[in-house]
Amino acid sequence: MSNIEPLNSFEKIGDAAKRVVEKIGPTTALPWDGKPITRPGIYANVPMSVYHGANLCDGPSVSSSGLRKISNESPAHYFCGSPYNPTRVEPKDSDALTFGRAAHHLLLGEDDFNTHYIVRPDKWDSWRTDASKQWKADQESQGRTVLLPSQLDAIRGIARSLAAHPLIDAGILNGGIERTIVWRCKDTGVWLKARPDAIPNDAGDFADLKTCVSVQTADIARSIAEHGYHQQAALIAAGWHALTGRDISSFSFVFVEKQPPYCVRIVTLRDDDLARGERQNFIAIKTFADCMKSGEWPGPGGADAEYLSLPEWMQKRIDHQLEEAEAA
Amino acid sequence: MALELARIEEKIDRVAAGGTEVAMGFGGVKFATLLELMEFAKLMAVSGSAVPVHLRGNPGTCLAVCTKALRYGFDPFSLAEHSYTMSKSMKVDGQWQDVETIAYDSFVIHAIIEAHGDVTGKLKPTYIGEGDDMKCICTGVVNGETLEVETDTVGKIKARIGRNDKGKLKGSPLWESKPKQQLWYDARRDWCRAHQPHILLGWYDKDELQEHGPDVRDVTPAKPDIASRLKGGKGRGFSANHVERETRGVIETEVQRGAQGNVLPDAQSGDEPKASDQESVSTDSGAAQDRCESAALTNSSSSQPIESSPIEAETDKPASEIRPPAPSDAGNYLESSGGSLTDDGVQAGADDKPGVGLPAGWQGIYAQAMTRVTDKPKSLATRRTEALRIIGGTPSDADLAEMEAMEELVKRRNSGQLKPDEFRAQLREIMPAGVEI
Repeated sequence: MSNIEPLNSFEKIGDAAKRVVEKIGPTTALPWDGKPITRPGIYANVPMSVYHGANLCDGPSVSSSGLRKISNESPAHYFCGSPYNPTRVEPKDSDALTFGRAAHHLLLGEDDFNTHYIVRPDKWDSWRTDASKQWKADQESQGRTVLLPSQLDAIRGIARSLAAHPLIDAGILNGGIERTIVWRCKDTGVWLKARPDAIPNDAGDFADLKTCVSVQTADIARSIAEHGYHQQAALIAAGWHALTGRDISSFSFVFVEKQPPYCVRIVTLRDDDLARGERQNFIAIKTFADCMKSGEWPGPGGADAEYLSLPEWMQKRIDHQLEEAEAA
Repeated sequence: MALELARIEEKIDRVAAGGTEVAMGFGGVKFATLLELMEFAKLMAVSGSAVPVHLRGNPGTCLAVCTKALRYGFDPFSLAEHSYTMSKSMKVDGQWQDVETIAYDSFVIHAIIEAHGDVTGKLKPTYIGEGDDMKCICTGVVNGETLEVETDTVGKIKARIGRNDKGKLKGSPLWESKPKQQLWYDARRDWCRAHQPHILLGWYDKDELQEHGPDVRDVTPAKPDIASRLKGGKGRGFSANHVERETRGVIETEVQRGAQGNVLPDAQSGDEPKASDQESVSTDSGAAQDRCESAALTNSSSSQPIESSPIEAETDKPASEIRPPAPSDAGNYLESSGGSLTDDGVQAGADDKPGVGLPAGWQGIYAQAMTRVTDKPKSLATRRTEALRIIGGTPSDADLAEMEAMEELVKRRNSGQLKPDEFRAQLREIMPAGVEI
């Protein structure tokens, strides 16, 4: 009981609580006990399979990727791969996903890379031969993800490039890793979960690593918009506030090209885009809660037919062509 | 900011807000108490896209907009739509500091002047000159007295406003497209400020703040300035060393792997060695290498280690029949560049000098290293280094002569002087008896 914080009799409870929080630090993680989580917190050592599974918490939980799926596609698209769907379809792993996962594992300093990943021996330059196929199947049956030598080469290139960036050097990708933050939505009671790349120790400047094809401005802006990365940032910010009572200072994305010259570009979201993400998340959380309750997971569109116009640019082009053709 | 929205929302007193009377008068909303107005301002702050970004999550500024709207009978949301947060640099205690202030679109101010000034009739413009020499005199009658304000010429005003980096005039675009109209807006505003100060009470219009010299600027930070807050890498996360450690040797091991088939002809076929078996021999190379090596072991026991090698295409013998150059010592090749095989008492080859000379049978590995097809072109020097690392030990003079002879053959093959068949025949000739290629 030595860690009981003495309470000054003239001190307000709130001040004492603040003192305790400041002392233990917001990044102090609770060890996960292997059972469904019943109280909000930052947890360490939650396996990814549990994190994405149905039993992380003692009630339905949803992560940023789930919310983004609901927002940007539809509840039906989310439910298709949802752990709450008894007939779910496991999403197929694309090369890009595999690469991104492996890159994160190595680049964010996680341990046991070699337990989870294995590189194809370079005596094979493809999966044409039966022996190579058999080897691959063996590895996968043992739970390992197979990488190509070129992919590992790329990760090493990325690492060299990252290391040269001053903000990386200053620690924007450092802090508590492999932490799962879990909290409840006040309005719906739904458990929310997030797994930031690194929980910062310093001033609350969060960052997320993204591998991409190009770091040109238009490309990364489109990437953020298409994948709803601002929603992901907003969810982490909301979780951070729910658990620590503090606002994040900023949320940045570390974009790095996954091919030479492996350029790094660090961009920070503006408050209004974070606010947009937060509002999108809120709608998606409510949708999730409603669908869980009703058991109905509708796709986009309603029961009746809808009007659909050609895209504006297409209309213009056709009209222009018609005008020219009809004038001739 | 985003998160404050939630907190403000929690703080809205729904009882007070619920009691707000709604009238059909100007602005559509009537407030009985300041509390109600404050609640309304909080509501505005969480109204999302109904208010501009600078008001979101900012109930204080919303309240300021609300009081102004009330004073002049505007709908608070409409007025909010035409408001901006700008900044003036002011000297405070000898230091320049940015002081934020609210500004409004010009036409808001004009509407107030028209509606609430003590002006008899309307304000009237008189224009003097043309083009850049044009100026405007604004005339208004207050209590029977005619009051005037004269502007600078358009040319002088434009010169004072200045241009941005792209050469575009700052402030209102009307200075370029309709200078007469903009001159009138300025004249009217200046007249009001000079002669009816109680109306504007220090309101700024947006153009005015944008145009009035270098001491006014947008205070939205140009950069997030995260660097000033970060204090160096702490905790875990990205570490170039970690990546290097975890991946070292994983990619450039094909020669080692190919040779491994020779070194370990009877390796546990089908059984992957456990990681613990390998730890003792590969502390420096990282476990990733172990994984690749072990995979290679599994396969090499049943097939040729180098499928694409021009040599092996002729060699049907399985790897297990290739004579090993040294007693099976799984993995020791990884540490053997310092001569660990010879240290272990392995025969030192043709040379009599103790500790010098490669282990017997090295020629097989060496030939493979020199000739095997790789993903990327490799120089003979690189191949030699790699081969020696695998074989272990220090070559004697005799070994070196043999190595050079083999390299010479490879060079001739590569340059087309030797056909593949001739190359293999000549290679066999210089190989010691018993060593398979």
